Amino acid sequence: MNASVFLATQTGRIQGGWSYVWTAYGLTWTAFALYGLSLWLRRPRQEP
Amino acid sequence: MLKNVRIALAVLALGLLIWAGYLGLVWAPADREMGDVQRIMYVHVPAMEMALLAMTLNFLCCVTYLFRPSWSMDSLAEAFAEVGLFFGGFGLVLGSIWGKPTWGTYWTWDPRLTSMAIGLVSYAGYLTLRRLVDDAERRAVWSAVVGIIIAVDVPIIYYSVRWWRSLHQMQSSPATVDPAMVRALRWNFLAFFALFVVFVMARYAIALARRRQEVTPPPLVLERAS
Repeated sequence: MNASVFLATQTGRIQGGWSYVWTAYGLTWTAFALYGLSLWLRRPRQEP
Repeated sequence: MLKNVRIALAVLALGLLIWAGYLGLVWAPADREMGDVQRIMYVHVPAMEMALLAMTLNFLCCVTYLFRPSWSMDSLAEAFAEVGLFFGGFGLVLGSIWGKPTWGTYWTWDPRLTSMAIGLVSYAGYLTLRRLVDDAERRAVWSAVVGIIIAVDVPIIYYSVRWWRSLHQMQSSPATVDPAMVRALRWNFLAFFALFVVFVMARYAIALARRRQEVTPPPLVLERAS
């Protein structure tokens, strides 16, 4: 049993997982950018 | 003037988002059990809070519209519904990403997840209804009634983790969380809220412009006397 697996089984702590973190943050920023762009493209020509 | 306020708010929201991202990704400590995966909380929780806030405000707008009808209230309800659907939609996906390394699955029919999914489908239906009805007044009344009915799901979403103690954890309290994590979460909440305001203002302007275009009679075409 290697050290990381041993640590995980002994403490219950999840090892690594940065790929999930970057995916989540990347998705958040992309969603904000795309929704912001969609609002800008739909903006009224004359301000109400 | 309003345009400048909107631009200033957008810049502020962007700055807050960068700062809050740094706090969540770098500054805050890793969780004792979940490790670094727990950092997803700093984007998942504020996204869901914004969704629930938008749904609640949509309900208030719907009730207000039925008692004091106005195009601005109808437009505001539409804005809250769409922005709520946006935050709830990607917030649910974030929760799903977080679920894989912690629960071992992207999706399970947990009461919290299920009630949230039902809520999102309901608000998608609400927005679809608004597109299907041509008459502006009828659309406003019908969607206000639908908005009130589907808001029943909001307290169910919030209290589901207490009523049915299942896989999704209960709401945490600052008393039981590391102060550094609480601080990072609050900054992220602030950043998301600033962006929420920017999005609602922009979406409200779009909805109100459409209403005015719909209810304003076309200009009279005067025939030239021959």
